Amino acid sequence: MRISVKFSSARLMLTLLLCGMSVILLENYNLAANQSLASRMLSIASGVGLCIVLFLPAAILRKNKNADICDVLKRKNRVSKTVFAIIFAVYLIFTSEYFLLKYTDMFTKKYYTDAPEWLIAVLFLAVCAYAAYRGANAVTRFSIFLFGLALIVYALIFGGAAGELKFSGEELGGGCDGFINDLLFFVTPSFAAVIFSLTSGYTEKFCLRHIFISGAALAAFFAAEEIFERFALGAYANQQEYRFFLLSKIQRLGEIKGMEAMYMAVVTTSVFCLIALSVCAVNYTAGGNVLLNSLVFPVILLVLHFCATSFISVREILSSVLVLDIFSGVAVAAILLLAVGYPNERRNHA
Amino acid sequence: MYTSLNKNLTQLRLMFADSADLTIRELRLRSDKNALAALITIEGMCDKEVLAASVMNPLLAFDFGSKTGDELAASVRGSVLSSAEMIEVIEFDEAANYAVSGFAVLAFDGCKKMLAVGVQGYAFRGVEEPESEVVQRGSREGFCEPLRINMSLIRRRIKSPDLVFELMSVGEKSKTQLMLCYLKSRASEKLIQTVRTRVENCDLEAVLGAGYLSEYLEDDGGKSIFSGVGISERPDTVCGKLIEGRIAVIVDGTPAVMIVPRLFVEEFQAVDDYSNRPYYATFIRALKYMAIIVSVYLPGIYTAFAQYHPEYFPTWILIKTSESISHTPLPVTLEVLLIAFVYEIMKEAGLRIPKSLGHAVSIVGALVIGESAVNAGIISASTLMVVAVAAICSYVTSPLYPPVMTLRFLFIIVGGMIGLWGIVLASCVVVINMCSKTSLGIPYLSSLSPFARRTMRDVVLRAPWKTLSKHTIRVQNFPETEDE
Amino acid sequence: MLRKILCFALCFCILPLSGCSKARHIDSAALAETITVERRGSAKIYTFYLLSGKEKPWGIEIEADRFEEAKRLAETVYIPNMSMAKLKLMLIEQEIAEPQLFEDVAFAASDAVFSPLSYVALCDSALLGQMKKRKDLPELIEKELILIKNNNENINIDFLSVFNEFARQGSGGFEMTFVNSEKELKATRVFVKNRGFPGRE
Repeated sequence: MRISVKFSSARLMLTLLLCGMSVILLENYNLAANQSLASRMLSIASGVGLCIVLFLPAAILRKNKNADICDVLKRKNRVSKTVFAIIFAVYLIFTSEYFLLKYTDMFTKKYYTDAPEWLIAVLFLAVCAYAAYRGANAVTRFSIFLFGLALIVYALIFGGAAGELKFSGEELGGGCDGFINDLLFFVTPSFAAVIFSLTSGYTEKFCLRHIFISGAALAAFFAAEEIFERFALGAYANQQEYRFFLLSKIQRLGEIKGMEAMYMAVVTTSVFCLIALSVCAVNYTAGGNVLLNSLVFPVILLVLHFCATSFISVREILSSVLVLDIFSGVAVAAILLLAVGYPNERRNHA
Repeated sequence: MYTSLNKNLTQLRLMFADSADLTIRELRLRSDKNALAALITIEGMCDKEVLAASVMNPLLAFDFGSKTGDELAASVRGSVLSSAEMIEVIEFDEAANYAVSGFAVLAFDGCKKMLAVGVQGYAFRGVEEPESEVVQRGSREGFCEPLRINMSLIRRRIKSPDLVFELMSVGEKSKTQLMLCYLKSRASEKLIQTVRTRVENCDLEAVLGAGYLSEYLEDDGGKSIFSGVGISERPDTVCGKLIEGRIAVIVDGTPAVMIVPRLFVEEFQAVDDYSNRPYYATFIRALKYMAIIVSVYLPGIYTAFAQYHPEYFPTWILIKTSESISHTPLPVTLEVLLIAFVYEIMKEAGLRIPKSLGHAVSIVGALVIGESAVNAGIISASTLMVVAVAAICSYVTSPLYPPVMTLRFLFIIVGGMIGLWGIVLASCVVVINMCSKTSLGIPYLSSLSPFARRTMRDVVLRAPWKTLSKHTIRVQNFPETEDE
Repeated sequence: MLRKILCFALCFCILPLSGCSKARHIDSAALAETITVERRGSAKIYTFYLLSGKEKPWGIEIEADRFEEAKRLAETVYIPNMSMAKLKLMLIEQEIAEPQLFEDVAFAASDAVFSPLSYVALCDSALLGQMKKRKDLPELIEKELILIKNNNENINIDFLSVFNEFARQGSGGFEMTFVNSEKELKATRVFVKNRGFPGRE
């Protein structure tokens, strides 16, 4: 049964924050090597700051005009509606596929080495489709439990790894190229702005400070992860893919060592929220039969996944941070274009 | 109805198909005009002593003079009978309903009306201690089968004119009586109307217990594994819920009362929590939450670890578990499923077996299943222990037993087929399902999700009464309550 | 109705394929707890001691030049269900410590199955002989390693710290443990040159 009642905007931002954490949980040689800590922190601050800036068009549309992109599209002619809906749908599918590829890759390399990637993707997408069918409200309610789990897991991982921290002399290094590479990586969470713009019409009690609080929390998380990797894992971090997985392995609490199972739970639920929420947003944009949309878009994701696992070139495009960021820019530009053209009046949602 | 007494009696005999329990006593009243009357009762439904003392004797002793027909009936009603309950009936169906409900129906020759006199005296079980909701400190009174007695048990505890009982009837053939009970100043009119409509929409031929109706009261028609309708055998529990704006449905013939809406967090609240000290009540509640998690997840996680992730076991458990499992013929998943299944059979047998034979079940269970099966190497001791611990934990909150049992089996199968990752995915599905479930429009996981900070003082914690009394919870004020 | 059909179809198609055959059952799982590396003649022998309930230690010996090769042979040829996820201790004979230590630790660092907190230490050949007879030895060695670490913060006793020391640029060497069993079991500090020959302090 789909929930029709509005939910709190703060909860949507919490869900987007938890989805944004997937970026660093699935980081895999995306960051430049030999960058100094200061450069990395600056790139985190800049990247997340840029994400907050990219949020502004949707936030202003919500705050001043009490509308979201779906409301704006309803007032457009058929052609414009179709074009913009396609842009947003393609962007969200691309983003979902980006994270799905990373997730299945991590999973088959670290956990179930013999399992075929396609099977992992099928089961995972089936669950995401079910959640998308239930709607964004149900997914954001789920995120409250994910938040509790994440707090416990991160406390255990960071707390347990604190014993391995060794603050040696920091070497200054890195260049402009590395900074830009890192900046592009830390702008990846900007998908949250697009999802927000499509789903905020179903929320109430929106406040601009939610965006800043979420951004700050995300930046703090990225920074904490970077500090632990640098000073607890050290050079060991560059020996394997998915460094957060390694961080979970060095956790130690007395006789209990290694939290990789908890890391798996958090990353699975985080990516699940992200893909489910993306499919919900696509649902809202596309309109029509919800059950059909909840099936069709995950099937499209699955087909893309098959192509990515079969063709390296497809995989490279779908896993490219640069392509994702460019796409994010296009989507946000589309939001800005739609927001500017929307008349400044208050509308009530049905 | 007819003016002629004979015709009325003939009609009633036809309606009851000359049933053996239909008793018609024809009376010749003391009057100048030889007035005739008849007393219609159903064998076993009336109190014969009360009938004789308050109906028969006054009727036969009174001199009606020259009164006939309607005057006679009016006189009987106004000045002859001493019964507190007398209702005029003008339809045969009505008269039949009152007769089967234990009323004595008086018919008079020359009168188109009958009088239903309240002399109910059918046999029923007395007020006893409820079997399923045992408490240490609270009242020992539980509901029983008669509707009116249950009403009085609630009325005694809430002595307020605000307390309303609405009489309804369900079941085409059974015509079972039920009462909607609520506090007018607390319950929302929308909720009351919703419950009323759903009860009216019940198209069953016979409603023989409250459980028949519970699926009609649910938002999703009873398809979810969790129930959005609560059932309680305790009047004090029901009164506590009524004060929160909920609605109680009392069904005649059932020693339990349904309460709507029902939320997940209420399954962990007990009457004793409010009599015990807050710190102890908080501890017990936290224990219940942990017990449910253990009950649902432990067998599944054990299966997943044994099948896919043996390295996750601590070393000292790993060696012992591995040794005990290596001597058994079945794969771990099948072994766990088998033991869980056998346990369910034993539990069901223990529930249905006559009390005199109950000891035999315990002996068979403990010795045959437990010790002998392990010694014979059919099942392993570690698997048996895991399932036993999970089973014991599930009784901490017995109303949740059906969904807990279902989920336990689900996680065992998923853990055995896919491992820990499968359990995570299955948990996502279950939690999403619970998050989208509502009970009369109120989110089923309210207080937790959507998070309501004020109500959290009575969820895992049990705040002191001074804190609880500052803000009374009203169920319709939970966030994201849906419109019908 | 459509939802139910799709749901059942998905379950019936996917669940049986989902890896039941890939399960590593606990009763047949072989978990390596300790690995020793020694030279016998001209060959290098990797011995994988497996977790078991038996009174005597049980291990398999594999002749290989590198840890990677030994692991591959162990998992594919000797014991198919072998897992290194429970590896707690790796002992390398002092004679072949260079360049063995660097190579083996570098490999362990690149494989997801090994815990970075697994202990690694140098030892003498007598200890390796005792490992075949005494089941309590790995536990005693671990206690010694923890004791020496508590008394000396700079000493490196696990894959994580040893690898990081090797990777630290400009470092001439670092301290790690040498487990001596001449008279009684004792762990002492030994200086290891960065990819050089280890010298006794």
